[in-house]
Amino acid sequence: MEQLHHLDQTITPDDVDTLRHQLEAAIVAVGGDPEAAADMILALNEALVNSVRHGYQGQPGWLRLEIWRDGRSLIVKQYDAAPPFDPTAVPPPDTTLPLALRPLGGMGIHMMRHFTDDLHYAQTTNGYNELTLVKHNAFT
Amino acid sequence: MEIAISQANGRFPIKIFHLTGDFLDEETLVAQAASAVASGDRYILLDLKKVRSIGSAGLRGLHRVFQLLQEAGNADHEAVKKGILAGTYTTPYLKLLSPSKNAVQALHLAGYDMYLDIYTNQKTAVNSF
Repeated sequence: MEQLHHLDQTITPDDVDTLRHQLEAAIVAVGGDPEAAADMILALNEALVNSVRHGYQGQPGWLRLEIWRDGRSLIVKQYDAAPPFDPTAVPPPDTTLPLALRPLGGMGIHMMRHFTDDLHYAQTTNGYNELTLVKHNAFT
Repeated sequence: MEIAISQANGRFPIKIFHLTGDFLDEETLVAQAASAVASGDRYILLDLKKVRSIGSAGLRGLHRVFQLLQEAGNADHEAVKKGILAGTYTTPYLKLLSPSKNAVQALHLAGYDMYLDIYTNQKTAVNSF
């Protein structure tokens, strides 16, 4: 596996847009397929928003992002120090319910799953959340 | 995301919201829609041709605008209920124009495409209200 990019920073909700653009540019700059990069960024956006809005409750918090290449696969690892939360354990929403009868929201994790090929959660030995997003065939 | 607003007249006056950018926040759209509804508008066409992708917050924004317009409109609740049960109901108040492939994917993933009519031609869309 080859690490393509990483960052360690304090993040607030206002940083998500900039971060998203920065990461997409980094993936495309190393030859990532633009469509795969767009899917990954959409999934990662949901992960970032979950972390800053729900995990850190809108307060500044520590975030580490690593972008890796493994053959033709693009792998993004997101670490935060928010309270433990495993998004892969959240059941999918019932999308067959009529819109008029549905609760608002609940689509973020569903989108994360859809726009990646694999999604893994772990807790690091020091208690951080580690979320791994994988997109296959992202490099030619 | 930016929103430019224009007006068209079909059978009713229609507000057309032309969205540009990634649709990843809900407040911009909901604020504009609430303002239009407060001014008496009841029909909104969302022009999505310059929207590359829709995130969960964008979907939530669409849902909130759907609710706003349903509440403001004079929907025949019995007909709505029957249509929902028969799986044939689409809202007469909110329609979508020219979503990108990625946007269609998000709408389909959320199941919103069952309740929101999607058009590829503005004139046809306006005349469908």
